[in-house]
Amino acid sequence: MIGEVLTENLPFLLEGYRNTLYLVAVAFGGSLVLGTFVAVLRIAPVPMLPRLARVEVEVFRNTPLLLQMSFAYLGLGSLGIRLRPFTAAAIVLTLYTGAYVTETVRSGIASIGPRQIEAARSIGMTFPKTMRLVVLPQALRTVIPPLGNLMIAMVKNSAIAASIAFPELLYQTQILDSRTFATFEVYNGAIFAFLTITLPLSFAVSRLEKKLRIAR
Amino acid sequence: MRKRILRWTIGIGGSAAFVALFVWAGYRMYGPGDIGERVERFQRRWAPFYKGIGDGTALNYWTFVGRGLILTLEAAVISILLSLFFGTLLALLRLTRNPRLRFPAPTVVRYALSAPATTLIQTIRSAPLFLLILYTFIAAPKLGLQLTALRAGIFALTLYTSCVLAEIIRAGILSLDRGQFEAADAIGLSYVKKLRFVVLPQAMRRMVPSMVSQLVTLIKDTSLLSIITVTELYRRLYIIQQQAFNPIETFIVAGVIYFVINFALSTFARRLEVGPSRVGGASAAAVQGLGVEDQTLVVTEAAAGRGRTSSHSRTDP
Repeated sequence: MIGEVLTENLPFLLEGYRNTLYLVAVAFGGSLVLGTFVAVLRIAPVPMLPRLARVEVEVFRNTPLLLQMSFAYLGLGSLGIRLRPFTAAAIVLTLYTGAYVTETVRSGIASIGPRQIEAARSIGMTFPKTMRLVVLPQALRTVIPPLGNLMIAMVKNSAIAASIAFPELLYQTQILDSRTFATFEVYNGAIFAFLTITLPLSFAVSRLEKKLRIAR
Repeated sequence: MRKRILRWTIGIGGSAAFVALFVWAGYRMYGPGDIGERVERFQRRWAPFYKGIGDGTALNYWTFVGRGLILTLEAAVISILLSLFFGTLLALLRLTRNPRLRFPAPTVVRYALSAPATTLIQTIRSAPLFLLILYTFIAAPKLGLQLTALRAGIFALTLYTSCVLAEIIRAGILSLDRGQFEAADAIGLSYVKKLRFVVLPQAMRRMVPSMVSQLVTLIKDTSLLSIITVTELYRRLYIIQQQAFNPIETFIVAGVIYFVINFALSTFARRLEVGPSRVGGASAAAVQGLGVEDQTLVVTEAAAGRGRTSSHSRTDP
């Protein structure tokens, strides 16, 4: 199955592989920070902000990622805000996955129970302090496996960055296919390459899940 | 008192900054020039949505877009129905190995059935859907199959969604109480009858919310078919945008259309979820105490790990 085309063009594909990893690393880091922040905003005891946070989450969860990519790349480009493909892809993936991270972290916050929060508040901790020292350390720990699943989903979603010409794995695959016409070989190789990222991740997630379940 | 002032300052300040961002973006969008020019540009770019393109007689704008919307919904619904069937089949194949279901066959046969199913599910689920769509579209003619772009697209969507649903269905089946399987065996139901009357009805009912959210995912994913020339909603809007020179406005309208459909569906899914899988009252109260309006949302299995199903049952974005 591994023929000449793959071996000869390995560096070309590996560049795409590296770009995929790089994009996911940047965007996932960003979405963790953003998602956690918005999750806290959603329960912040201030007027209006929780609602705005909810709007943000629902907008990014309920529209296609492809549309968001085009918006950031072509749409903003038409206004003279010309982002590089990488920047556009990273921002959009961050916002898109960030919305899912928000919901996940929120369920984690809900899981730790009201007593913790009441206790923290009653000894005089401010809301940000309660969140930082009491709620988030516990909440984030419970949602590590679902966050891992979000990361897997992001690896797959990052392929959509090919639509705005970011040279990640799928984009390189397409180019190689159009150059060599070795469709099966090239695409099977790409699937295999994606598997080498997602399978270890999902293995790690299920291990973690079992571990956390026993610990409870 | 001081605290309250602080809270209102943060709340109003934050919201004002948010609104200001949009006002600024809107103002910049229709620049440069004085206010008259900006208003004129604004009207020109939004005109296609109520006047149509060109002299507005060629083809009604919304008829054109509406056909795309119908195609999008069609592709999504066909795929979800096909996937429900194939997903159940794959899940059952994968579960032949599981002792709980007592598949009536020798061990060798059970493994021979479950191993390929497992491999297929894991492989397809781990590959990007976008890749599968492109692959199908490009590879089908090379295999001598004359598929239309739409069929190739539906094939890829179904393949992917079947494998995702298979894992959800498997988790749903395994989440049933062990006693259900034992009782069915005890009263002597055959394998097929056990599935039909005991296992599947219960498992399916539990999975309705995940199905609906999978449908939302599918509706979003059908936009990927535009890349392989299927004239669904997104592609039609994209084509129009190239002629009307209003990408931002068109993308906003596209977003609104997708949002309305998907938000309605996911609200519906959430309402379904309130029933059996609800997390205990304590945590719902906690969220209420924190001032979140929508407590029904506090549900995912992640919450306190109280969920019965594994991570597989969650629908991925």
